This record gives sequence, C-alpha cells and structure tokens, in this order.
Amino acid sequence: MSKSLKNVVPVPHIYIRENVLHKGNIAGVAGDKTAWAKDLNLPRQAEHTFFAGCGYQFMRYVEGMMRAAASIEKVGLGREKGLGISRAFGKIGIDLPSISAKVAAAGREDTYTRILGGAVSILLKLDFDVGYLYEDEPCCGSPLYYSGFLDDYIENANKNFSIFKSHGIRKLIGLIPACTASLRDYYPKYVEGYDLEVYHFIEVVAQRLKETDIKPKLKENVTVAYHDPCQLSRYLEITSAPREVLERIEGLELREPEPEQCKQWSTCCGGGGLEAGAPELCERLGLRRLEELLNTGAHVIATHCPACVMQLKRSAEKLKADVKVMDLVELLDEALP
Amino acid sequence: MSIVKKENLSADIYERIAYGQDGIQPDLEPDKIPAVVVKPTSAEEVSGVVRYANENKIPIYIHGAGTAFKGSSRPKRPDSILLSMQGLDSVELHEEDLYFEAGSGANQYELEKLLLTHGYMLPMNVGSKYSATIGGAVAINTIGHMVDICLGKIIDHVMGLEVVLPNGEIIETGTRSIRRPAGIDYTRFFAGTEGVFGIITKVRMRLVPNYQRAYVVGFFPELTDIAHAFMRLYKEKLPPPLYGELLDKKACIAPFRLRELGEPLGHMGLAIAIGHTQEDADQQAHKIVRVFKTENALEARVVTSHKEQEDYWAARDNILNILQTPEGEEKLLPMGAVETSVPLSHLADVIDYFRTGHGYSTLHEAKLFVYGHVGTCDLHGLWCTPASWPLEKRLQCRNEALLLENEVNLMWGCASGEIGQTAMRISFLRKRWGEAAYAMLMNIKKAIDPNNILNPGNLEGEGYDV
Amino acid sequence: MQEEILGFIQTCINCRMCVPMCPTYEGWATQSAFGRLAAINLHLKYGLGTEEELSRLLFQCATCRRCQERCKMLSTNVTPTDIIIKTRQLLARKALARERKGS
Repeated sequence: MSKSLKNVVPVPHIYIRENVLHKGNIAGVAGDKTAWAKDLNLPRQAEHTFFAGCGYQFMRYVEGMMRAAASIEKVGLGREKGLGISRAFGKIGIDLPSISAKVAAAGREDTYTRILGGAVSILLKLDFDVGYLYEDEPCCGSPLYYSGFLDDYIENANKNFSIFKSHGIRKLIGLIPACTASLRDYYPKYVEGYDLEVYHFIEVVAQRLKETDIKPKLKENVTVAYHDPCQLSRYLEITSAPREVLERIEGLELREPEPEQCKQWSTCCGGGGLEAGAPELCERLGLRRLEELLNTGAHVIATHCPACVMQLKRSAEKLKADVKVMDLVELLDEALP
Repeated sequence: MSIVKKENLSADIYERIAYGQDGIQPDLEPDKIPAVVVKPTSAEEVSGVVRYANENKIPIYIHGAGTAFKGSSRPKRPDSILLSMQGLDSVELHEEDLYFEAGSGANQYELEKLLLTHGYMLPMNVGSKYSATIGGAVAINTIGHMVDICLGKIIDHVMGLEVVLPNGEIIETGTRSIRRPAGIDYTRFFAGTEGVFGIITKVRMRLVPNYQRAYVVGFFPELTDIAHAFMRLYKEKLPPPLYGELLDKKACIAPFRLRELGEPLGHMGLAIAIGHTQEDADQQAHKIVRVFKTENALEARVVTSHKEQEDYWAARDNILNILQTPEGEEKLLPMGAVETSVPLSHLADVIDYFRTGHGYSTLHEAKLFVYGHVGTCDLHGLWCTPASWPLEKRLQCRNEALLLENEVNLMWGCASGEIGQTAMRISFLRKRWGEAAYAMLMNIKKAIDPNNILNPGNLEGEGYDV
Repeated sequence: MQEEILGFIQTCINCRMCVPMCPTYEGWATQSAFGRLAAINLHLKYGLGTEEELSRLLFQCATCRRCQERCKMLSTNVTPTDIIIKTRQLLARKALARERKGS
C-alpha cells in the first residue's frame, strides 16, 4: 500500500478494509462466525431473517487484537508496526491476529456470542418466525463506509443485495445498531431497487411485547442505567423501545443519566471505531461516559451494542468500578419465561 | 512565548482557521487567519499577552465564543493574536452579599443552569447561549430576548469588573455593594464598549432571584396585530413581561414541524409574564391574553403544559430552524439580517417597512422572515437567499439589509438594541450620532489604546463598504 | 463529491452550538464539528493545511452524530457528521485514484 492512502486513512482502518473485503468480517479471523447458532437449527428462510452481523462474534478478537496492539506499543514497536508484523505473517499463511487474539481471549468467558443466542431465544419466545443465513450471511460493510471506502462499500452492498435476494429474503431483523442502520438507511441510497424491510431487534420486540400480556420478571431486583448507543439513538432514532422493554421487566428499576446525556443526547462512549484512529482519545471518552453512568447510582449498566459493551466493560475495569456491564438482551432473556 | 503554558496556545492551521471564523457569512479570508490562538487561564496571563502585543504592535482579537453577528469577532488585520477567554471560566457565588463572580469566559448556559440550582436566574437570554460567554454579553451590554424595561440590561446588574488595559495593567472596577457608585464608575468604560478599551477578565454581577413564569401564546391573522397588542399592553400600563416575542407565520412552519406542533394558525405572539408567586405570574398572563384577544388574536391562551411551553419557546428561540429546507428543495442562506429597536408607537410601521416600504431589489427577491422581541420593541428581519445566487448578489443582499437597517434607525431615531454598534454598524453609528461624537470616540480610543491593538478595525468599520 | 460537501458547509453559520456536544471536545475548536467543518471548508477552497493534517482531525471524530442532532434541533441542520464522513470518503477516493495512476 502506497504512502498516499496511509496519509488519509488510519492504518488500522486500512487493515479492517482488507479484512472485510477478503475475509468477510472485521477482524479478518478465518473462523466461523456462525458457531453460536450451530445447535439452534434455524431455517434459512423464514418470515424474518435474523442478521447477526460481525460485532458480537468478533468483539473478543477485536478486544484481543487491541490488547495485543497496545502491548506491542508498550514494548515500543508502535501500534502500526504491530499490525504490520501481523500482516507480514498473514502473507505466509499464519493468522497472527487470530492466534494472538485467541491467546489474549483465552481463559475469559465468551460473553459476546451468548448475547446472540439470547437475542434469538427472545425472538422465539415471542413467537417470531425467525431464520438465519448461517455462513451465507455477508458482512454489511459499514466499516468501509465510515473509513472512507465508499466505492468498496457500494460494491459490497450491491453484492449483498443479490445474496439476500437469492435466498428470498424480504424482512431483516438486525441486532447490531450500526449494521442495521447501514442496511436500512444507506443501502437504499446505493442499491437500485432495494426493497428489503429492515427492523432493529428492539423495536420489533417492544412492539410484540405490547401486544401480549407477558410479564417478564427478574429473580433479583436490580437498578439499571441504560446507555443509548449512538447508532441506535441517533442513526436508527430508536430511544423509546429499549425503555419500554426495560420498564416492562419486573424487578428492574431504570435510572436515567442527566437529560442532556441520554436518549437522543446520549454521550458517546467512544467504542464505535474511534480506537483505530485515536486510541488515547477513545479511552478518555469511555472513562468519561462511564462516570456519567456511574453517577446514576445504578448497579448495572445496560446497553445494546457490541462496541458499547466492550468499551464500557473496559472502562469499568480501568476504573475498578463496582458495576456490571451487560447487553439489554441478557436482561430480557433472563426475565422472559 | 513563555507567558502562557504550551498547552494553552496553538499555532495549528486548522485551529487558527476555526477561531478566526466568526458567526456570519462569508468564509474567513485566508490572509486574515490569526497567527496564533492563545487561551490564557488567568488575568496575569492575559496581561502578559497584552503587554507583549502592545510592545510589538500586534493586533489582538478578543473572543468569548466568537459568535457575534455583526462582524466584530472576525480578525480585520493579518498576523493577529486570537485571544480566547474560554480558559477563564470559574464561577463563585457570594449569596451573603447578593452577587456572583464569573470569569469572562464562563459559558452562559452553564452559568444559567448553575444559578437556577441555587434559586437564581441569569438576567439575560440569547439564542446563542449554548456557546456564548458572559464576558461577551457584558462587553456588548446585551440581554438578548429579554425585555429591557422588565429587569434592565445586563449592565444594570454588573457591580464590578476586572479588566486588562491595553498596556497590560490589570484594574478592578465597581463595588461589592448592591448599591453601585453614583457618578464616575470605571465599570461603564468597559461594560458595553465591545472590547475596544480593555479586556474584561472577570465579571461581578448581582444575584437575581428566579421568578415564577406564566406563558402566553397567541396566533394572529396579521403580523401588525401583534405589534398593536404590545402597544396596547403598555398603553394600559401593564407591567412589562420578561419576554414578548413575535414570529411570522412563515417562520413558524419549520420549527413547528420539527416539534410536531402542527400547522401554525397565524402569526405567533408569545409572552412570558413573571411574578414572585405563580398566582402573580398567572394573573399577569391572563391580562395579556385579554390584550391579545382585543387585538384580533384567532387564539390566545395561557400555556400550562410544561412540554408545550418548552416547544413553543424553542420554536421561537431556535430561529435558525427556518433555514432547514426539506430534501430536494434548494438551500437557503441567511444573508440580510436586520435588528432594530424602534419607538413603541411605530412598531407596526416598521414591520410594514420591512415588507413593502423599501426599494431594495435583492431584498424584495429574497425570502423574508420577520420575527423578534416585540415586547422590548426590537424587531428582526432575516432575508434568506437561495444558495445558488452568486456570491456578489448575496453580498449585495447583505449590504442592502444593512442599509435598510440604517434607514429605519435614522428615520425613527433609534438604534439596534441587541448585538452592538461596531464593525458592520460603524457607518450607521457615524450617521446616527454624528461625526463630532465619532471623533470623540476615536480620540478616546487613541488615548487608551495608542497602538490600536485591541480589536483594531472594529471602530474603523474596516472590511465593510456600506 | 467536493461540491456536495462545500454546499452543505455553506449552510453552517458557525453558531458553535455543536461544540459543547462533541464528546471529543477538550477545549479546542478543532475538537468539534464546527472546527472540523471550518477546516474542511478552507482546505478544499484554498488548499490550507495538508490532507494528512485534515485526515487526522476527521478521524478524531467519533461519528456519534451528537453534533448533528444539536444542529437539527437548534440550528440549520447542516448534517455535520455526514459531511465529516463524506470528506473521509473524498480523501480516500483521491488517494486511491493517485495510487492507481502511480501503479
């Protein structure tokens, strides 16, 4: 890659682009992103197709990659050099990020893919007719859009539309806010004849819950502060649905941050892509947001986005805060009978 | 420079561009980009910078947030120091003596929120309060939307200042008593003089207790009905409301849509009455409703729902929403802006003049929105042009609006009451109050700032050919 | 694409209400949508600053849209976040084009 591109796009983004285009996922891990659904035996075709995305499955690899990059940096090699070394290994067939990430991730509970299973479990409990494309599910490509690779994004989007069409997909339920926003709002701009109906998980769940008299209930009472992910609150513009769901859960007390720090004004935690270009700044954003959430006095911080979960968890660890960071899915799945 | 810490100064090109760009069109000219942006954190540091600039004859442009609307915050001379006061943002309450002290860079909105938590209010309210500073407000002596004769202009609440003179000396003015000095009070040399005589670093202001408020909204068939309503209000010797606002029907559409308030029934008149108790406030509000109805209001009522109060106020306050055009429609740019405070009996005449009385071609071609603080006799006209108009034509629109503003003020013997008199408005200043007074002003400036380092070009009207 | 970007920036009146909303704001104007847009504007119009410097600013944006929300509710709806992303796309496109020409 010439000096030219490196000058205008941060190196980690360039790597992510290659990962997405050549390996079909953001971490470039030659692994199976459908393992979480192996035993679920979901049909490929159904009224609603669940779009799992890459985030949850690969967060632990991204986390591991970032930790590895950070420790390489500590040794004085520089983050870019670290990623460059991994690329060099990649050229000779050794998947270094995957190995180092696996090593870094080893011994820690895989919190993320559990969330995917929980989401599908909720949909099934609420009688949705749900399918999943398994290994045919493409990467939505949104990292390409935000990093500046618009032409690659458009090509990828059109390719994906053909994939969806070839499977007879009409309705998507997305879980990752960024992917869902991309599929709902950007694809129609760049794909001719785009006619998929795209919903976010929480809006269909909130709607369905309203139509039933199910009473979700937690075993123990918890105080919860909800962190609106940027993509969910300001791109998808969904702020009431998560609250309707949380407030429906018996035993759950919702504590909101300041009015200018929540809902459509929710302060960004920094988890969504800022790390690659500005790691120290990203860390500061995470710590600041965590403080705002801690000020509510809640014992649990619930959010609804893999990047936010990762970022807030890391920030809580750094501050040694006595708080549990969870995805809203985990709370709801536990509370639903 | 070892006068300020390295982290409080920036020579980065983009930082300099951002600070140099003021709150209006057009773009900052490349040759006027400041040489450096400095953000001192104490009066001593400000003094050091000023001394250095004075010795080396370097222009200083003083910024609170740089949001002034008449060109006063834009650098007029090349290679200047852009002095940002945002590092001086401390706030201290002294309730026992009924005052607070704030660094001139304290943000107005943050200050307002802080005062409210203690049961006080900030006696001013500008649309730009989210970005603007208290120092800027005091330097221009503005209270924005509020009605002057209700609580007074900001200078009426200023008990004292800390100021850095153009030679770098730091002085203190005023008093700690709620009765301010009669006779010579140095505070008045700096409050309201738009940063040309000295740099305000700290403000001491009296604590104003927060009043209870009652909101009145009315919709009128004719814009001049609203003018007549407020003329009647004062004729009946009713106490001045805290706010009296006017928003023409055209200007209601976008903000109402944004806040789901439906289609406006007519031109909107809004008033906020205050009282020590809610009953007092409500009583005043009902009187205003009666006045509105007498002047043909299609609908007039006291608004009690908190959300509705916020929404109607926001629809008026966030005037810039009117520039939001639906996708596909051509974008509008605010080119011609008029702000004039007129005699009470001529409120309706001025509205008519804005709309039809003048002979300016680009203004007639542009899209006009009339709005303003009618309760304090202050009217705004905003002429918006399609973005596709060539720059020359858009600048012509801007100039014609300035000329119109001058005409109105000269014809009816008044002046602008909200955003100051320097920079763009100097030609008016000279016509309105005459050359003798202007010569006196320039002599005073020469005496206080012989090297002309503070905001040079603003008193000269440099860069504006109208 | 450049025309589109400049067209949107023209509707920014530099009210600076987005500044306190930016999570990356730590006291300097370029740490906000307003500052980033002013930089993009004069860089594209007069070539001030380098692409590298501009890109650094653009990638310090978290693309959280908090500025965009503020601008929509209180000001002229310039869609600042979208412009910052579009400018990233413009710079990348130009760099890729140069690369192709070079090879």
